[in-house]
Amino acid sequence: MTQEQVKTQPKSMEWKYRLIESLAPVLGFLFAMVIMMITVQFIGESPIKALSAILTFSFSQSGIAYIVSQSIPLIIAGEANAIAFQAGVFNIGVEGQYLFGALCAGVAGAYLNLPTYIHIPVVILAGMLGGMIWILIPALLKVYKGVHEVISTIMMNQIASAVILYLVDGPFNGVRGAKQSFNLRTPYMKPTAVFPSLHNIVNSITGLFGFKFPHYVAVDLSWLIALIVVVLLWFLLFKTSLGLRIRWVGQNISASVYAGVDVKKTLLVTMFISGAIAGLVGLQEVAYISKFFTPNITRGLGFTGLAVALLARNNPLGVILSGLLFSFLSRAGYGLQMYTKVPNSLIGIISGLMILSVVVIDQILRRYARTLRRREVG
Amino acid sequence: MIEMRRVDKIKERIPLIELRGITKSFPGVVANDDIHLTLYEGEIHALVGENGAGKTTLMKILYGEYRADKGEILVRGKPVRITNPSVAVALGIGMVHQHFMLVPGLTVLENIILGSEPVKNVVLDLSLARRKIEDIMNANAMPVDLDAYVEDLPVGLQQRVEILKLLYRGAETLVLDEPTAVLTPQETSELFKTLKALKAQGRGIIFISHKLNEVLEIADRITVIRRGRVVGEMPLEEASKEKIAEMMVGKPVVLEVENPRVEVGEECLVLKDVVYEEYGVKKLDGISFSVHAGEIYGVAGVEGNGQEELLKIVSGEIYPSAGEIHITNEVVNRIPPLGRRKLGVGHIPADRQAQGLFIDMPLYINAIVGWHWRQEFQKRGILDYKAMRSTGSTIIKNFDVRTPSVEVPASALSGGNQQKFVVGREISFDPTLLLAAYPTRGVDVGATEFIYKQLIDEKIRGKAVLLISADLEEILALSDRIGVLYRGEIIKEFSREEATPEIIGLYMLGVKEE
Repeated sequence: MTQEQVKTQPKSMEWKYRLIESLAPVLGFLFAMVIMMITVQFIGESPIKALSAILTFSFSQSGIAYIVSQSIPLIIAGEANAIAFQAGVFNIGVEGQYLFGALCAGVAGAYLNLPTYIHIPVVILAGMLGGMIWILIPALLKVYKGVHEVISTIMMNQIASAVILYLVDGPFNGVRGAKQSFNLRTPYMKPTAVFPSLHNIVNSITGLFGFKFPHYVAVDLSWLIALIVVVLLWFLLFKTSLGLRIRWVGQNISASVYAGVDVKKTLLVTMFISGAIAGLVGLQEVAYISKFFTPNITRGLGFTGLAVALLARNNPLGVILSGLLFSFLSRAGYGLQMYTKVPNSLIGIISGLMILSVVVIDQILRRYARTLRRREVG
Repeated sequence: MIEMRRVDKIKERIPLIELRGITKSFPGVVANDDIHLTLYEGEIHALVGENGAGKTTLMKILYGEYRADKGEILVRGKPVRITNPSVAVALGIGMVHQHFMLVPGLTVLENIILGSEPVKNVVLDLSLARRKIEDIMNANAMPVDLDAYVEDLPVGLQQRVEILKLLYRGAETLVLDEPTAVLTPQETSELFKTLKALKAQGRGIIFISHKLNEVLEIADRITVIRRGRVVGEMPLEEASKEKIAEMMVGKPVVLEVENPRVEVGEECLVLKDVVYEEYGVKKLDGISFSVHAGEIYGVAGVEGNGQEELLKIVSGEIYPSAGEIHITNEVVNRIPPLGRRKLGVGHIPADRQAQGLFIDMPLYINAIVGWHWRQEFQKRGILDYKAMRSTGSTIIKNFDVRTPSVEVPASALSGGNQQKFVVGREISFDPTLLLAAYPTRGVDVGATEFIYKQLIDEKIRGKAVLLISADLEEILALSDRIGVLYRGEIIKEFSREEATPEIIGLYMLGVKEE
């Protein structure tokens, strides 16, 4: 670069505009919190009391431990949604994909006899495969027949609920004779398939900061899985050529066609990645906590994952923070319920409000940044 | 004496609509420049001009979809401020857009009343609406089945529903944006009957078109717009096809660019009897031509005669139904865009914002759009951001793109600078064949001249350039050979020396057809 060019091109304020653009989640969160406090006041409870209830319940040792541990499935579900969103796909079907994936993992863990260093990877792969199978039909319908994925994945969610019930009641029933649905489950997983605890490793690290995870909180292999998913996804999206093409397709299909991107192939690949990640969501519960699959497994993680991804603006690293935040919110809800007369459901309303305000504030900030940029260009 | 007074009366007649000095600019381009236009009761006023001339912008200002930067609008002599379409509707102005604004899943009746539903004691009064619409239909001889679903109607009837919608709202001024573009000849003549009836009732109609036969058939007065300015206004008696055509496309060589002929090399692009059929309609009908290294081949033609399809079929977005396409001696009939780019095809797209750029992504990413597959940008599938940034910076420097840095998103740039960036990118990668579609559309004069120079330099460097443009002036300034595209066919080919705007203009309009 020549001297002259340095002169004619002054140092840009680009970092400042980027900062402005990235403020949306923070502002949205603060806005929602203010609204919550006002609502609490209306309910007839003191906002200060509510706040202290939330803080003491959430930021005790076990509170923090639970928040972190329970954020793991939310982070994975958030990543499954985030990658799909990056390609402009609304994978509402993460819900069904993780149910089916969890079933596949549970079955692989219960019925196969393998040495542990093979069995655990097989369980993980079975989960991913289950998720991919469950997105196969919506993916093919979308790419080759133009059926919108929102419709088809919602339908697949319904089908998943019914299919897992049938399979666990039928071929994979672990408790013969137990006909009540709350008893239904697959057989226990073989010890070789159960996820190892990571308490020792994690505590040896957090111990340096004077924090230990209690034994009754799940600290297991799924933590590592979540970490790997986050890093790989971030790397895929922002460092690789395929990731760039995925983001192109998400931004503008006709420009992608112009650029020579194979849009159909890119959409298929993205949806399969999303399905595979979705298949990992239920593993913590199935392969570590309960050690079997049951239709009564925690539901709704896929839908919360949508919100997690939205709040993180589909950034794989942002999903960590956003997953932690949603985990904190659900904990805060219990805190409110326990120590004040504020109903737990208020938290649901606040989460929704937060998403809404983030989306709106995001648009406003983007436009503001664009105006500033235009002004600078002149 | 009586004669005199009558003349005076006509002169004093207050126009239904008067636009005075309307000016509207978008970043980097003036879309409307000091436009004056009047419309009287019982008059059909045709607004004629090429795509991008500023007709639609002007009408959107009248209809309140855009706000003018300067100028005023008078309705029946009173200045008004039209801030949004509902103000326009209240003032008796109605518009039928090029793309209909109907709800396909609702009935005709529901579509017509949508937005101004008659209400009796909180309940929708459909029978009142039905009677009112039936009266309108009878008065104008425009029958439509009110209970039919809009999606089941042919296009001509859908348009009739649009017009009924305006009449139902009491529109005195009707703006029709290219109403015949989607109609069959029979439907067109039906439409014209309707328009004449409406005119006889004293309504004013602004009719936007670039089909001159129709304009001459229906209009009482004609205004020609070119590059955002009014270049002529005349009553029907003074108008002729030749005269309008010349005004529309303009006199050649306003921009002085030196365009030497160079020795041509081998054929880089060959089309042999290429046919493209879509839903049984031949959009391209036996096109044959070739472009050599070291020449610019210009495709002239009124838009909508197959330009879009021709471009897509060469770039690989669609495949021919019959015929053969060769690029640098390879048959590429079924090779997708990426494969053709790998053969060295550069492509300046028709719409930089919708196609050429990812508008929210930074320039260093936009610098490799279409060329992302090249070795220098990735090692085993992993992006090399350093190379991308340096390519972006090089484009910015060499093509005089005004931007604070390579980090800003493409949306931060003005239209002219966006276009310079796209042109620069496509040239930077040293293509053998360069497709240039409307390379200066919506770009100011300075940037236009710059882009012309770049295209000519490409030719001098021995590249083949296929230029598609609606601007005849541009075609004449740049091309070494010119083909005229009319109804999906190249109906005539000229060398630069034998081409004059008059004769090409006539072929473009299909006037001279063997």
